[in-house]
Amino acid sequence: MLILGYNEVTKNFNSVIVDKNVPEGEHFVRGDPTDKNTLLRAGIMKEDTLIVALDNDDDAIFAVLLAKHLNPRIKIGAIVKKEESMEKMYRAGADYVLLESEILSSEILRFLLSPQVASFLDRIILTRELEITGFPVPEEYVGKRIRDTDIRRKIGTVIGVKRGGKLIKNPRGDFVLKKGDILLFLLERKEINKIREMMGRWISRRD
Amino acid sequence: MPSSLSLKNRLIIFFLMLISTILVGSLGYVVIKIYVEHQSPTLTDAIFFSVATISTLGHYPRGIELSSPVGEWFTILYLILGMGTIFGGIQALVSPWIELRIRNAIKEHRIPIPQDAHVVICGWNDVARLIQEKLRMLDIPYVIVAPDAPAELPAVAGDPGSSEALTHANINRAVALLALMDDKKNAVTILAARRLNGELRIISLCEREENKELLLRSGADVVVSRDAILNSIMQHWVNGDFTHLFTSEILGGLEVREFSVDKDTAGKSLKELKFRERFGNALALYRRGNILVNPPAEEKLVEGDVVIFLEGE
Repeated sequence: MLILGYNEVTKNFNSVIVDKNVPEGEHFVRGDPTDKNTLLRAGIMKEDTLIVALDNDDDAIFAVLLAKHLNPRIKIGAIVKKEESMEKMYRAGADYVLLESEILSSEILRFLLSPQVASFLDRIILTRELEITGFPVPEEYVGKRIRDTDIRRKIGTVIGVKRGGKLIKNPRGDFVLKKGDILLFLLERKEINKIREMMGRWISRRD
Repeated sequence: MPSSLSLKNRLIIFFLMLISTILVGSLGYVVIKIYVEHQSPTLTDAIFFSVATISTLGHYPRGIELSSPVGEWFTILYLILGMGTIFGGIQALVSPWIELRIRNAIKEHRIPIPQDAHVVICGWNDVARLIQEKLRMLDIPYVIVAPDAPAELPAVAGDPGSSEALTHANINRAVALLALMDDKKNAVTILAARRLNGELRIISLCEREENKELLLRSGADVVVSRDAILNSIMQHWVNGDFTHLFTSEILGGLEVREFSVDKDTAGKSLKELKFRERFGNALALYRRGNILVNPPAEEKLVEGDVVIFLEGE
């Protein structure tokens, strides 16, 4: 993974960072992130992921254009400040664009309007005490409705089902499980291993 | 005359211009009367001629007017100069006063500042704008405090860090304050607001993670750290984990809701309340600060519990 823009957001990503004012070190490439030669020097051709977090939206858009041109296979995530930059970013070839003001305003609004939900969601995205985890559906439950199984009681609420490339969010109790489905749960991180063991027993019992 | 000058200075300049215009006219009148028309004018005649001309009286009593061609040309040119002085001067004198009147008239029609149970938004930027739009949609009263606060919204134009501006925003009756500026300004604003209202719920934005602690110590209840949030969301994307699949719920946050257990619902279990059918899938239960993830359907609810749920369609 390669990162354009050296700042608080990108600092602890543990990847090579490209910017004009980076410190000395093997994790850093000093140079203009909107310059073709800098990107080549940073090894853009062999990377699969690029994160763009530059101070100036126009620089960021140009860097994305350049990166996509040099390496069309690369996946790009970007952060922008101005709303109008969102669409330009996607057109320039970014796969995932975050609008700073939108994210910050929704977080603040949530703390204002439903503080419990806000602190709950922060446990998922920030502190990661909670995690959304997926388990393959045990053979013995294939063909059954979620409400007729003991999944809810034993593990927890199924918040989503991944079926092939599709994601079914918040399935109803009468949702019928199919072979190959991946069930998504929201779990406490410390419990995940315990549950994984339990799921393992289910799976091994089938053998 | 530039309108940036004070009224007193403008008045002085106007009179100086008026007097010098009259002097120029009188002098010209005397010179022409004596050397061209060979008459002997009095000082009163000269001043009378000047004033009558620049005030566009339009008629001179017999004996006062200049009747030679040179005199007539002088009268024409002097009339133009005089009109410039009078109209330009009066306009410069009066227009600031008119401006003031108009501004006051608009101020009287300004949107009133909410009196009670409102949200005080400090700072005016993209984040503030989005929050303001949402609050308006939800009919939650709010007031914006910023030096560049928009006049068409409930607002106090002033420094959010000053007690005066905050008092003007009825901070003592507000329920919440949002500090959306840079870290320094936020800290000063929070300190000022906390002193004026101890009950207020203060939510602050924080640019640098390292300043979070300081903002909390200034009196903020919640600090939302820009760097930490953007970093985590990006990281979930990079990892391509399951959490990322739910980012629209987590970021939009509209489908994840909370249900407060009151007297009527206390003592019943989620199952008995038909919670799933009526509201949605319960994700967690907050009880006295503790969180219970995936609460069992048989769990009896206690008054004051908050159920976090994923809203069904």
